[in-house]
Amino acid sequence: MTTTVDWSELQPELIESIAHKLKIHKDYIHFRSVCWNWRKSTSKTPKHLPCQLPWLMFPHSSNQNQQSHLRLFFSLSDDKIYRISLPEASTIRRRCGSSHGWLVYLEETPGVFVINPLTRVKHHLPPLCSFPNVVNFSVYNVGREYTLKTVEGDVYYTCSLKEMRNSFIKKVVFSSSPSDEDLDYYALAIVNQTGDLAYCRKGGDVWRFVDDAQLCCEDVVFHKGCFYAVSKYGTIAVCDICGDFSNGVPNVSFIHTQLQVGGDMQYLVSLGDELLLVTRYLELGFHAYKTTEFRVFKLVLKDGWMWKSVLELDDWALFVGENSSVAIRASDFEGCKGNKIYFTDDYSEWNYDGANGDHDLGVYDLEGGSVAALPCYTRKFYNGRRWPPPIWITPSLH
Amino acid sequence: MAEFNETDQTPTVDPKTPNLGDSTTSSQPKPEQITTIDVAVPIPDVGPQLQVVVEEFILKSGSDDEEVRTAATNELRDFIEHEEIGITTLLVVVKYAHEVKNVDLLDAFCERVADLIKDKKVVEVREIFGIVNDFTPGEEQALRYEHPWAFED
Repeated sequence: MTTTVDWSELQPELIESIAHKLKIHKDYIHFRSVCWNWRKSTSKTPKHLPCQLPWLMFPHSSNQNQQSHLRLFFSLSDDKIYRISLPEASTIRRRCGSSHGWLVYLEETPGVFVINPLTRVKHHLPPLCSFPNVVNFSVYNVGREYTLKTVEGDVYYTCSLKEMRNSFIKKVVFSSSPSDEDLDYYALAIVNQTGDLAYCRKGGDVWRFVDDAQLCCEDVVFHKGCFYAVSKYGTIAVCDICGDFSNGVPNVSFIHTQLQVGGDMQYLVSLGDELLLVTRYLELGFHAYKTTEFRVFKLVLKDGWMWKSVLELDDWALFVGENSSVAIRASDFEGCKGNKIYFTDDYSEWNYDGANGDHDLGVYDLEGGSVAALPCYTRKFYNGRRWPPPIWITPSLH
Repeated sequence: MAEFNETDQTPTVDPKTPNLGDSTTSSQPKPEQITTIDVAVPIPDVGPQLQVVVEEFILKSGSDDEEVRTAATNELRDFIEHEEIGITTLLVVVKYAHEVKNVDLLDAFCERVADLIKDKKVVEVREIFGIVNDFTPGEEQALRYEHPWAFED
């Protein structure tokens, strides 16, 4: 029995149905490269692919002369280093966010942009001088280009271009991928100096502050339609920013939990309907900080809100650091193990320039309570801290 | 002479595949085809074992009871996982499932097809599916250039 129709001549809907069963972006790219009909019948920017296993973006290569536009990304699932051309990620720029596969960059101008390393699509966010506490910006005030005012509004101080780039913003998180045409994305930034939370909308001109949320500036995550921000002691600010609000001011509510004491840094992770708090413990070694432990909690309502200890993550793996925290189901991907926390350096507000030692990154095993090195960082690879620190990015085709 | 129920649903018979709708009519009529299964387009020749499995699945997938449907899907997926289904047969079943608009049947077999594509290089996929490369060298280079990292083999 012979079929006169072969695989390349299937109807477009059938081809698309098959392509939608592919869950890894590399497989999907290969699929679209098989023949013309398969290519035409599938979208260049697929929305069905689930969140991919994060890649680790390496610091700049120490050999700056050779092909400095290439950035290295390590894939845990392929156990390979990919080289991607990303001239936008130059050394004069500072990265302050990795969310939905997009990186946020600051530079020595007020401009803020986001870029997807895989597609090289770039968008602009409102500039730094549009933050509410920036009262003036002038390139003629060399070394003091920005004039800012304090929270109380009575004291003015200045900042240089470099200082603003390096320390004004701690982290930027998105509500959805900036490339989604059907959805307007919102960005939330944690302002380092004041602990303010600032937000903007796709296509917006200015950043606005979220009122009264200054204490909740350890970490931010987008969860169930709102931005959740956490303080050092576990208090949550729920910022309902997306959508239109009647009086022009977003709705902010607070969840006061039992005091979380201990630990050096807090992260929030959205895991389905659950909100997790991940506390990082550091130890000061010889001129360097080293992570020794993580503790995980989940938000529960039982005689009031509290953070309940989570001893096991089962099949889930968490990725934390300067990126927007991500929870991945380990069984969906090769090279990822469940019940582990994959972490990178995250000391943005501390003096990074003076730090010695190696990067503080690795895999924390919740079961044994031990820290192991990432597969790409063997003993031989260590050659001190390099700029910028490594960061997790969930590679996305859109 | 086999009789099969043609429902109000007009079968969209692709002129390029004369085997669909033709070959089984001349074969021995199976009791299920005439009386119990309301199949607008008869199942093509995919080998006796798979034919029975597909027929049974179609029957059960029409059930009102969700448990019956779920069990049927699991049985089908089990079968697909453990049995070697030839690439030509797979093509026939996929097209058939599409024609009879059985979403769950199509789903299960598309998964199988996707499994064959996972983790393979482009040339390997072409070989498995017997597809000829119809890109010019220039076109192929251009599409690889979109995501060079994915082609570093």
